[in-house]
Amino acid sequence: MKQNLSNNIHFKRFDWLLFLLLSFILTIGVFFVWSASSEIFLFKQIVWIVTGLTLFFTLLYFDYLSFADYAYIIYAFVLFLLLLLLVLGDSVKGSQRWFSIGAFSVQPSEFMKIAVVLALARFLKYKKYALGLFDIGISLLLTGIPMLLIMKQPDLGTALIMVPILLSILYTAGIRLSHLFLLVGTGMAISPFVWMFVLKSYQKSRIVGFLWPERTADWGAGYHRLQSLIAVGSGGLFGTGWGNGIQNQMKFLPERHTDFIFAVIAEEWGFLRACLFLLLYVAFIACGIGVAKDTRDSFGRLVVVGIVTMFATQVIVNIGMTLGVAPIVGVTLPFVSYGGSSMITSFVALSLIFNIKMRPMIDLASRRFSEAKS
Amino acid sequence: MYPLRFRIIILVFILLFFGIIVRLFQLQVIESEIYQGISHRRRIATTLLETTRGSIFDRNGKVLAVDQPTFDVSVLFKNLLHCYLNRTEQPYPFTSLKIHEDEKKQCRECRENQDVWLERLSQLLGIPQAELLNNTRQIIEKVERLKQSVERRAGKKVRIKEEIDYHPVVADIPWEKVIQIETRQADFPGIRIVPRLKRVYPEQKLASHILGYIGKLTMEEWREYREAWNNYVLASTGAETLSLLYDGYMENDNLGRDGIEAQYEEELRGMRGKRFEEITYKSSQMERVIVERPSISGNDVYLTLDSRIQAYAEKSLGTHAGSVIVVDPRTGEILAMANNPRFNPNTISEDFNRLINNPSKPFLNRAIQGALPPGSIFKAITAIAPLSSGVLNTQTAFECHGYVRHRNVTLRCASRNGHGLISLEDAITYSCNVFFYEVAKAFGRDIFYDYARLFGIGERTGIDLPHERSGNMPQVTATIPAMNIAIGQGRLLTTPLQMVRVYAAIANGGTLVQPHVLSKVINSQGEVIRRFEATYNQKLPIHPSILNSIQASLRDVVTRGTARGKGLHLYKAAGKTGTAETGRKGDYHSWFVGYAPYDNPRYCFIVLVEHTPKSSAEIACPIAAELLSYLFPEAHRAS
Repeated sequence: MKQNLSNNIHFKRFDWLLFLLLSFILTIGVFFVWSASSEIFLFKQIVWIVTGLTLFFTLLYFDYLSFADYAYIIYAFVLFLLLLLLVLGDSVKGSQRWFSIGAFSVQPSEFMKIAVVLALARFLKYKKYALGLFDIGISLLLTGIPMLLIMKQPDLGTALIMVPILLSILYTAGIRLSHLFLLVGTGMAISPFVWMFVLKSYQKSRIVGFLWPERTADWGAGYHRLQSLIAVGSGGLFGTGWGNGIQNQMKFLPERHTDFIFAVIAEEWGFLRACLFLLLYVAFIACGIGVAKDTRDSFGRLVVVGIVTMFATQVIVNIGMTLGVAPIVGVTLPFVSYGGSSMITSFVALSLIFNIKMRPMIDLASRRFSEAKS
Repeated sequence: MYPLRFRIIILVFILLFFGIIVRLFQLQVIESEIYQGISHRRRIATTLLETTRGSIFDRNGKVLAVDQPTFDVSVLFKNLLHCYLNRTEQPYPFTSLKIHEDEKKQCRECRENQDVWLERLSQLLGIPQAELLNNTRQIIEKVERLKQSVERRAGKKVRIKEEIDYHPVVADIPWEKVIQIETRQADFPGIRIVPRLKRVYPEQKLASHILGYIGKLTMEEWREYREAWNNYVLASTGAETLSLLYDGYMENDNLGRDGIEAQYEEELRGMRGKRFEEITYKSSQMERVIVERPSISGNDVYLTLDSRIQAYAEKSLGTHAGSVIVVDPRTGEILAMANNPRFNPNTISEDFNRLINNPSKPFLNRAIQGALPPGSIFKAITAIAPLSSGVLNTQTAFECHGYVRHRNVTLRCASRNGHGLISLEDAITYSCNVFFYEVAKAFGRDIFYDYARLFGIGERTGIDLPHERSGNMPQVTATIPAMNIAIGQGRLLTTPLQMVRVYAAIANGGTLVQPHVLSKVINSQGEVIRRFEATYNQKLPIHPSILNSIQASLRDVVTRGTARGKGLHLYKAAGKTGTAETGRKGDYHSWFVGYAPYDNPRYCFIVLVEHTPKSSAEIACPIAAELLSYLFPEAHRAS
């Protein structure tokens, strides 16, 4: 990064409430990953969390405006990684989502979400009062190109998360309501073409299976959905108790430590505590939007809104999936699902929120100004 | 600037979360009973069911390969372990066995029954105890290795299914022993008879190269197939529901490794069924079968092979290394394809290592994999090429002095004293090398290349057998190599199948047929679901008059030429001899290729004997005559 403005940081403005909420979510997550898998996964998950936290605190020392300076470069680099992946990526379950570097696998599509947020915020930060159709068009391209590449992998879930991110950033940036409706309408109009030319047949069958369960021949998704519903449903009001879920422990629930972790929580904790867990996320997201509202720098505000939308969409889609109200598309539950790429991405994204909260715009600008003079 | 918009965003998210909580309430409070019921009472486990591999028949319906039930004797693992620990002294490589050692000390008397099986089985089956113990050792090592890898992955001690299971100790026991064990269960504690399907080739070594053999999937192959199957299921659309209900390969499954078994694996394999079982939650006991999808047995494969001709061809070839092919020149159906040496597919698992290291290469299907110089039998192509391109007519004659000189190189004819002035027709009949040297010299180097390619030399014939070789049709730029190729020597390499196809085309009036061994595929209901259809049967651009004169020459080979007096004329055969040099003195490949009867060809055949000191007339022609005596028994009797 260009400058290290560590002395400019306001530790008094560290968002303790948000951090406390995060700690609760992380702790619960660790316990349920343990319940759903084994000590090995527990240990690895803790390693990921520690790595993520270290990265989180390290990134706080860099001034977030540097991210604005490098936004397009980061965007181009991750886009390049995605392209590279299409050419020589590992084949895992017939899709190409991972780079293998030694024992680690890196999933560029995860990082693309942040890169898109940064690029969009950078592009729209000067457009406070006059967001024209041209600006909307460029924003669409910035989002659409990586979306297509990610769909091609195929990773429908991650690609679709870009849509709410784009909408919420445009909305915050001041898009006219008529333009917003035009955009949504156009999106609906072109969706048949996406259906015909972009989606793979099994993705289609998953969506068909979600919309019309009786028509589907996709036993995979149907099985996931049913087992997940049984898990959630048998949790009841009070749950079976931690480590006692039948669906979980008898290993009938597939992918229970990654995408379906919420089903384990719902089965073993029951309705009341699952609601409490959900409220943690609601508070977390509300706090995030609060940070955006208090930020006076428009780049920072757009970044925070984009990231909070990313978290919120992932939580809603992931949980909706386990409850059978969203198609099964492979989206992780932030800070809870087992997995390195997801955990690291979430922490990097979170550090941006904290960074923006801890660096009031006015101080930052004056600091930069004085440095430029000297 | 837009404070309202932040509120609206928050509101949207809160509404969505509220929706989730409502759904959660519906599932966990209102409908909870339903799901709890499913979760406690009805859980479904699936087991894969055996399937029968399709049989292989010859053209007359004679069975060449079939799945037959056979019986293995299996013993409970703890009995095996007990015996092993008590009877063997050698140190054991696996440390986890220490637990078992401790167990052994604890309770001696309650285990007294556990090594009865060893003596009883040894007595009943007449197998020495040492051999049984050796099998036991292998089983225990395998299970322990598996257990360790499972424990390493799980990170804790686990009891695996194999530890409480029965393991086969003796395979393929006779029926009367099965009865003895089954009727006196009490005398054989911990012993169980397990039926199994075994691939049997009732004709033993007959046509072993064509039938091929089957072999167990290796761990890696199994993983690969499983992965491929999963991807296929993931990517399949709703239209292909059938595949979703069945399963791919299972661990320890067999797979066709060579010949028809490999080529038509997809047809023969069949599909494993599935049994869906209800299991009670508490005891993990199977309650009852809910639904069973029966297996679909593999399809039966009928070959064009005639096993009687095949047997006679193999007999005619005798102990010579080489091959004999009989083909219907009109359709390309392979009636016999004999190779020597052969292997016995019934005992392949025991013999494999010995066979694969055998220098005479018994696994080689010489008919399609042996690429050798064809020698004089190539001259038919060398004659057709200049005739068709118009640079030569049947009357053109060259003078043969027994040798030809070209730039200080002397090339010899088979006849030391020369054939004198000789025309094309006689050049084939008497196999005059000099004539074809002169053709190559006079009419350019590349004159044969295009025609040889037209006849499929240097390309696979596309026969439906795996691992066919293409041979080599070199494109030469110098005169001397071209002269060599003109008489079927030099860098030219052909397989017997390629050459027999060339002569089939000459015999049938110029159609290059696609050789094949599949006749039809029949499903388990007896319906024909597929007949072999040639993807190409190519009419060659050769004038009928040219073919006629070549045919006349080939007929003369038998009546007055190089194959005279070998008995071939009795069967109205026409053909061509060939003795290819290998570069070593007194070591030749002896060929005879031909068809019969010459006026209405029903059979086209080729005989190849590799690495023999004798000429074609001495060794290949008698084999051909013997083969024909079987194909035309009336003519044989009349003589």
